[in-house]
Amino acid sequence: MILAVLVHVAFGLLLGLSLSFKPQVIKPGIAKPVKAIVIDRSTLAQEETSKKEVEKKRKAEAEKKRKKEAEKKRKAKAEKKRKAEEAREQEKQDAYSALGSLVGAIKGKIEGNWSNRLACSGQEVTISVKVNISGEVTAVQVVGDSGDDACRRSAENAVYKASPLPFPDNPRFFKWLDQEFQIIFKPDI
Amino acid sequence: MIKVFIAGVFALLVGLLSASTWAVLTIEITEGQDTGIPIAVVPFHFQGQQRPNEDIRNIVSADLYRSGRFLSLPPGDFLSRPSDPDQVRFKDWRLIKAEALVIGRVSEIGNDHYEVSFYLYDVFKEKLLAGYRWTVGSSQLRQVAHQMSDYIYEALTGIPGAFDTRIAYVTVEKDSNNIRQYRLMVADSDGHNAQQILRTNFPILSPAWAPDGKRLAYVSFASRTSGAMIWVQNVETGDRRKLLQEKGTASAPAWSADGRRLALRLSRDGNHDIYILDVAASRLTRLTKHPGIDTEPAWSPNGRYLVFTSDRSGRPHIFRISAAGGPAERLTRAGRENAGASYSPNGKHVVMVTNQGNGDQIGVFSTGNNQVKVLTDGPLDDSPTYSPNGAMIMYATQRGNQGVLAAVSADGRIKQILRLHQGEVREPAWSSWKQ
Repeated sequence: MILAVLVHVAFGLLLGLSLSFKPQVIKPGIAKPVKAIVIDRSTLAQEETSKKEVEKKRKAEAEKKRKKEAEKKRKAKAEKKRKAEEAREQEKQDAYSALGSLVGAIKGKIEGNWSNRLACSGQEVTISVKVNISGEVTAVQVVGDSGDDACRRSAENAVYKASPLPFPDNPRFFKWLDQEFQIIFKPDI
Repeated sequence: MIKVFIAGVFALLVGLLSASTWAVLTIEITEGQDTGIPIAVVPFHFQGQQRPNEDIRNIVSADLYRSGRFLSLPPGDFLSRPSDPDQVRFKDWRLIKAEALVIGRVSEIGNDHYEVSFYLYDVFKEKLLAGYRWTVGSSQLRQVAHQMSDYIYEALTGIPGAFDTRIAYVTVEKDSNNIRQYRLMVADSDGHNAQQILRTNFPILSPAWAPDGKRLAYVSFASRTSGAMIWVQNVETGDRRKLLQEKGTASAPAWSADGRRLALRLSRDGNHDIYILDVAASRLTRLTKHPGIDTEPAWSPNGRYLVFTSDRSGRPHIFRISAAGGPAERLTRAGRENAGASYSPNGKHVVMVTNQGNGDQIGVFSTGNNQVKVLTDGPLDDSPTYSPNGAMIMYATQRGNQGVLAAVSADGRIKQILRLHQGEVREPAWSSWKQ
């Protein structure tokens, strides 16, 4: 009961207080004339379209740029590939010409070890030879039927004794070259 | 259809593009060293008290070298000296580039009794090619060595060896009374072990081995004025039979390959001509009838022809006639003179004495292309005779006052002196293999 009376008194006081306040008068600025623009639907549409076009353009530009980048990348990649191909081809040619320049030396070494040409007089025999990267002969095989035993043996022994054969020892070349080649023994006696 | 075609073309293109542009490298070899097969014959291991006089290893090594087909490597270069199969390290022999290896042992197993064994290897294939054993007395050791050489020669060349064969020849020398002594001798193919078969004061001519390798035909004279006698003598037993007694001269008996007939030069009909004697029937047939000198007949291996020396066209040249008789055709055109011909065992060549302006040299005429290859230097080379395998030629020559028996390999590469005599050595004849 007392509480209720107190609350009423409090509120009464507040009211009194508030009545004593005089509001400040805020002088508003001069209000800008609010001018309403007539909303033109077609312009609205145009705006919409040009917005779209800008967006489109932007996208197109971006796409163009992307394509250009991709093309550039593709070209660079192709160029790299072409260069690699060229390098491989060159390495292959170098390997072949290295072997080619050694054919004379291979021939000389085998001739120097063919001790028994007479065994093949009037005959010829073909030997298939395999070498490893050091030129060491790893396999010797008579090809076909020609040549009697003594002739074949003389040719095989010429190859065995000539090992290791002069062979390009550059590891880069080795993968290109057949490590197998054929030797035809055909004495001119 | 078109799709299939396109697919096919595409496949072809792919195939072509991916195919290697590099065909198999092929190298042609035509030159060589021609030193002969490098062979290592290791000094044999000896076990016993009394080492024999004969060094088997040296005899084999010399045989192989003389043939011209082998290069016998010096023992000083050997890295090891195996004498048993389990001692062989092939690497040692590859290192000195020996293509073949021979190892062996000689063991004394009794009084003058020896066991000899050897093994022959292909070095690079590390393969045993041959191995043999003998049990013999010391007097047979040289023959064992020659048989060993024959096995090795045949295994490595494919040609039968002719080391275990004999030669016959005539020597002439003045004795202490200054009288000429003629001796018919038989020796091993390397000139060793010479045995006297006959000795007379009058000429012995033209020894000729029968195909059985045991009998010799020859011409001898009983006196300075007597006619020629044709004999056949068994070299081992000494038994002999007189085939012909001529009033005039005779020379150059030559056996047919079947041993049934003997071709000869006789002069019984007033002229030097070739006759054929049927040995069993003792029947004589005249083969040539030309007024010129026809002599030195020799049979072709197939028995169908004889070659002989004739001066019917001027100077002596080699002619050929059918064994059945008929016209003779001239074989040799080149050179001033050609004489003393005999066929090689394969019938493709004729060895002869040829004068091409450098004196008398030994030459080989090829029946296939009529080419003559000169093998010796001359100027006094004579009486060539082929070994029974056609691989070597023996001949007589002179060095100052010494008679020389020499051998040359059929390709002319290796020449070797076999025997030296005071006086002369004449008319060697090389036996065939003993039947």
